[in-house]
Amino acid sequence: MQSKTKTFLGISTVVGLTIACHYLGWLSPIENFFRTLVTPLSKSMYNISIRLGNEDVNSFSLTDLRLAYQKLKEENLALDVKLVNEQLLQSENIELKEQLNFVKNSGYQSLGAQVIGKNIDSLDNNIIINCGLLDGCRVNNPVIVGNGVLVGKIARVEDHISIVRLINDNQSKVAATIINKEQSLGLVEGGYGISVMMNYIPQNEIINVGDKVITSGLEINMPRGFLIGTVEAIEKEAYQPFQNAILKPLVNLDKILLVSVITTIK
Amino acid sequence: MKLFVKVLLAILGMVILSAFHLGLSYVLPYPYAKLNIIFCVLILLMLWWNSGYIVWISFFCHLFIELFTVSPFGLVLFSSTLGILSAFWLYKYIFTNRSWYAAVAVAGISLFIYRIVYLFIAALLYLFKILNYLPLKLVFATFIWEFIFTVSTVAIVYFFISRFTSRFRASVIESSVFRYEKK
Repeated sequence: MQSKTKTFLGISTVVGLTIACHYLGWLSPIENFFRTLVTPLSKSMYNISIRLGNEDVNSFSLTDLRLAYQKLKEENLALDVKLVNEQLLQSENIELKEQLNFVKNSGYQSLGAQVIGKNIDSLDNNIIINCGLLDGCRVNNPVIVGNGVLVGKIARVEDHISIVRLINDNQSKVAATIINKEQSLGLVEGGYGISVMMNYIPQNEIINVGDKVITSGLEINMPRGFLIGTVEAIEKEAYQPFQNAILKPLVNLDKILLVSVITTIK
Repeated sequence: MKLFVKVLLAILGMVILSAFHLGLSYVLPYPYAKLNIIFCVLILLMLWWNSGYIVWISFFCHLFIELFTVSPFGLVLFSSTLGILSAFWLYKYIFTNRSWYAAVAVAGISLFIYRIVYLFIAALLYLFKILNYLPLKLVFATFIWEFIFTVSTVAIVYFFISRFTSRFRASVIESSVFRYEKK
């Protein structure tokens, strides 16, 4: 019994010392070394998971394939017409963007990063990106994909990697506004599976399914205008002061490969 | 020189095991992703080696895993190390016979202890306002899936390995006085 107590105390001491050394920063070189070792393996496995997730495993009969071919031919023709129209629109868009000088006026700088893994702990819903403190990432920097779709905020930053708390994480909170007549304000919170919930929307304001939700800019480090999602359902109780909206994120948060970290906001 | 190579190989093995654990959780769909491959491998290795070194291997593997989590540093490390230590004690003093059901019992109980310690520390951190919330439901759901898949994997792998080696068979009797193999 005594030897067991000794073993238990010995192991607890080692673990305790390791935790203390971590918080004092003495373990940083060793931690960075092992991160460098594990990261490439983690990255390749993550890429495999993305590829696997994007593959549709279906088996078709010959008739199915013929029908699908016919359908695709028709779709291809329609897409050709669409493409010509879009090329016209694109040139117009470029012209308009130049006129508006959009990038200059947006006032923020971004850093491109690749997703190298995701968190496996049951507490959180996060992704790991290959951009860290030395690259200019800071805690609470917004992380977006595409042309301004918010996916989360940086929760922890190390020298070469950062951990991004996704908007559907339990602890995620983002000040948001709905693009409706009243420009309703609320708080987008995670913890509802693949959906997110917008809470604290005043009861008297009218929300419709399909309304777009963007960041309100009413919090530090978060500019106004990043898309969060669309309203999928509305929860309204007559006796409650606020109503809630269930939002569908605009991107599949499980299949993110490239992101941009907003580092400077003027 | 031999010791240096051994240490190097051990570190490499632990890095690969940790990366494999991370990788499997990315590749496998939910809820299969909750399979705790580190626990599976360590429990099988413990039965193979009969050694307490497994606790230190667990310590280093979970240290690597901690580097990729947001939860307060030490939460996974402490609870998992205690989980594996309890597995070792269970194997040494209670489930001493080499059988697939002993392996299953050791795996199941150690996973249970791991999650209980995890929740206990999480509750303490919540009490001291280090954690913003206590994910009781999430941890419970994770534990259920983790338990089902990890215990099943240990049972299946143990069963197959025992077909090819006598090390995993109950017929081998060992004691400090004699070693006897039943024919």
